[in-house]
Amino acid sequence: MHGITIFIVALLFLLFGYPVAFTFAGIGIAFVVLFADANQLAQIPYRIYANMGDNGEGLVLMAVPLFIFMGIILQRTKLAEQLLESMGQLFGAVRGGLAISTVLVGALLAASTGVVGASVVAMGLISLPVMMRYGYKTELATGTIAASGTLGQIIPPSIVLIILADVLSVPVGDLFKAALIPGLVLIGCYILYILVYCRIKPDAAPVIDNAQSSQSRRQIIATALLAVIPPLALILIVLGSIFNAVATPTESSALGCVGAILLAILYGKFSLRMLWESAHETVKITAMVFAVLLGASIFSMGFSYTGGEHQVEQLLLSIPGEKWGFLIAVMLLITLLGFFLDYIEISYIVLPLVYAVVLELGINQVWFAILVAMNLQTSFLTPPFGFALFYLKGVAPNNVQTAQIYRGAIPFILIQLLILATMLVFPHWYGMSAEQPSLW
Amino acid sequence: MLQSTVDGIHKLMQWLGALAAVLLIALVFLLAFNVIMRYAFNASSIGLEELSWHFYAAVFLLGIPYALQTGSHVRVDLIHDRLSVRNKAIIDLVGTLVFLIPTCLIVIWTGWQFTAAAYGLGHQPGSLAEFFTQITSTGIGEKSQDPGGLLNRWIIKGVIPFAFFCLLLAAIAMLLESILRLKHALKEV
Amino acid sequence: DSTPSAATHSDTAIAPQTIELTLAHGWPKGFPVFGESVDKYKELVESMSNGQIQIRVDSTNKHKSAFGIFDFVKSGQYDIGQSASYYYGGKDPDTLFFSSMPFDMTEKEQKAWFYEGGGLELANEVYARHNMEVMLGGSTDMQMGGWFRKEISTVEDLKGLKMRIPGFGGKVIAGVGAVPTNIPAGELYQALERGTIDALEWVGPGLDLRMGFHKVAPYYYTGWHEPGTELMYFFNLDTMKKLPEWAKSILRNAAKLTAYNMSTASFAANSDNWDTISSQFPNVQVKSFPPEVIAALKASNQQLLEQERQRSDFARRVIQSRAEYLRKARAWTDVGEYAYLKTIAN
Ligand code: NA
Ligand code: NA
Repeated sequence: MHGITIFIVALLFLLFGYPVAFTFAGIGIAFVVLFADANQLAQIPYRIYANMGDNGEGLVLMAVPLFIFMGIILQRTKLAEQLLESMGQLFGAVRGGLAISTVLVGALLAASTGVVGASVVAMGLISLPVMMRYGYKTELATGTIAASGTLGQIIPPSIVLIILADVLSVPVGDLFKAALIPGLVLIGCYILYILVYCRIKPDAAPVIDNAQSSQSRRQIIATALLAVIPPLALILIVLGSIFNAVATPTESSALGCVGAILLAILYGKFSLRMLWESAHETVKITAMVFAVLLGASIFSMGFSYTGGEHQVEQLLLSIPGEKWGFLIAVMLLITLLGFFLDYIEISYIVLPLVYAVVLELGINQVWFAILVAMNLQTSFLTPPFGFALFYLKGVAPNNVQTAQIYRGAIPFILIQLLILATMLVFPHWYGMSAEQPSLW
Repeated sequence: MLQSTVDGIHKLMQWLGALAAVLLIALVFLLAFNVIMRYAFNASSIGLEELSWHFYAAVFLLGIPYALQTGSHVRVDLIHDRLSVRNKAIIDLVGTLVFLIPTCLIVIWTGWQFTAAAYGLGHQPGSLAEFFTQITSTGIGEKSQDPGGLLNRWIIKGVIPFAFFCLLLAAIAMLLESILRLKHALKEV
Repeated sequence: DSTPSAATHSDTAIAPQTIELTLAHGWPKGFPVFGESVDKYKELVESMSNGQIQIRVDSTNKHKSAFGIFDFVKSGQYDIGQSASYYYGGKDPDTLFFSSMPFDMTEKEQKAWFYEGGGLELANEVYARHNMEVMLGGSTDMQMGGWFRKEISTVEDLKGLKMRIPGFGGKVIAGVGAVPTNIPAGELYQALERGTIDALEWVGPGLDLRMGFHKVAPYYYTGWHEPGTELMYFFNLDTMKKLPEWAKSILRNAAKLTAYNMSTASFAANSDNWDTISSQFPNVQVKSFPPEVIAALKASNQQLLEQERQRSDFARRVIQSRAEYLRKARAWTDVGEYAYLKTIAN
């Protein structure tokens, strides 16, 4: 029973506003001590060490501090602001230009990292201040950022897809290829939503004012393009270094930092003081992200060691054995779990158990994996425990409230669920098939 | 008395933050160096690759206490924002006592054992002089087994209990501060 | 609750004391062959003991530490562990010799060395230092030399070759100028696809197929560095001391049976998946290193073994034991299995 009660207890205590990371850790430890075996707490350092990188997935998380560092340098040197403003200007009178630019930049970052924490925080640093300054509605701004930040997990490379490939026994390359179209559709739908929303509620997204400048439209475009090029080039270099086999995605984020420093020098905005302060800022935000990760890891001990895993397993056993009933039930369950658990726990608890059924029913594993990935994407955004929301709150200015971030995420969650539903019913729209091919 | 303890701990945290910042900058250039060496010169050192994750791990571990002192850890503010100064101080006081300090104590203790398990393997140095020569020659205890990998795994493992010891200090400072704020709030009333 | 409740058996009149043990293994839950074999070990022990021994199996999904098994069992955090001995060469270099060694015994030969040639006693000598007893856990079967983007014709081709190959094999290949590189498992596929690395070794077809490497590297090299890797069961000595003889006997013999079962399962998975790769992906070319390259690698291997001999007395003894056993065993393999295969080949 404790497996489920732990969420209620956590929710209650989180509301008091003590730092999320330590609330998670403290409750996890309390549950292990009270309802399991206190000796198992000796595993905590091993869990921390697994995030540090010795032969573990932790190595991939190195992208987090590096992306944040790049983001902060771009922010402090105003290069990011220029990028977004100029992109916004290119949209001219179209409302929501900044938000659309945010989605596009998010998509580019997504293509160079697989770690959601990295892209959400970088996007939060780069684009939240700009959108706020131009009077965007807070909910629109934070929702757009959280959603574009989580694009990193559906657009390859992606840790989620790597884990899914592992537990579902499919080559990760196949998943990367299959995720591309759903990822692009998702980007398209975000943009469409922003356009429609801003048409209905013009106040939510003021047009970037070009009126005071006497420049012609053509001049504006020329200036904007000039400003867009350098930071965009930087992002493309990071991407290019991955595609041209110079660097792994993790290493490319370090090249991104060096590139950002070089850009700062080029624009005369570099100073040792800037670098030093940016590094300090990066340390703080990185620590915030990892404290949440470690806290959640200890919390999940409290969940799984006190029988929570077992309860989910029992729930899974009651799922119908016929194809559509099975698929719908699994998808609903994952969405539901996504409100409370993080994607790694869900992947490891749910998928090994349903894997045999997937094979038995002749369901295409690749299609199934992409369905799960799209579904897990929502888990980053669903209150109360959406990690993307915590991270964004962690880097947002103080006047941005948790409730606004929660509300802002809702339309994007709905978009994701809508796409998930169409992927379920019309896999061929996304270049996939529901049936097991003769061979992967 | 309380205030000076708090100030002392704050100073320590500033140092910790500076150390993490240095390691972060070093990490960036180390990784870039590794990429250039591998791509341009077909040279790659597993020792340097390992050093990069040592730096990265130290950055986030040492950063956690520093971030506590600078108030950078994320909170859910649904209710918190509407609370009085007094109630906020009470939440910090109770949360630190109930959640944070026990977490620190447990990770310091288990992390110490974790480090000792890595240190206590193989030949143990008999004197301080031998300790220093052994660190730089064969290493003490667990080491990397990959070609050219690093020795002395206990150092990076030891960062876990060390970081949580610093977090304990930062937590104590937070506790004392919340007491000071409470006192202040009571005086106002 | 996490502690398994005492099993109740309607078919036993008396209710004997149930022995509850915990086991940690170093794979994700249900991981093909490796993880599955631990679940079967649990079933086997429980049925052999008529339910009197109950084992709680924790995978990496639960304890999150693929390489913590050694520490877990040593410290008594878990009673039993299953992992590979050579993962712990960094903790005690003498553990290195009990999984597989380059240019050394095949799975069958090595099992004979462990059970009949004193290998298991040597392994237990090392593990006794760490408060553990060990039994074989099952083999991966012949491991392949790995997936290469380009052909290796001369030793020169290995110079500067960026390859993901950890551990002792990595040291051997580094000895001839190749560049062993650490890339996290999740980034391997892309790294090989794009040429960030030139080659990698994984296991054999049984596990390689699911990684998809056959789609991005055309050359599949035959094995040389791990001709029959054996996994191990670790038992905490304090736990063992407390157990009655019958229980110890069940734990050990179930491990022996599991080792056999897993080796068979590995062979089956390898042959099934090799059938798939060779029939569905005709572009995959099987290659072997030419004699000149093998000779260079052997020389590098010998140099490393010499260093090991110098390092510890124990290493010298185990290297000698392996070498002596290999000589005898290979002589028989040559006139037995190898001659058979050669003779009937056409
Ligand atoms: Na991505
Ligand atoms: Na969630």
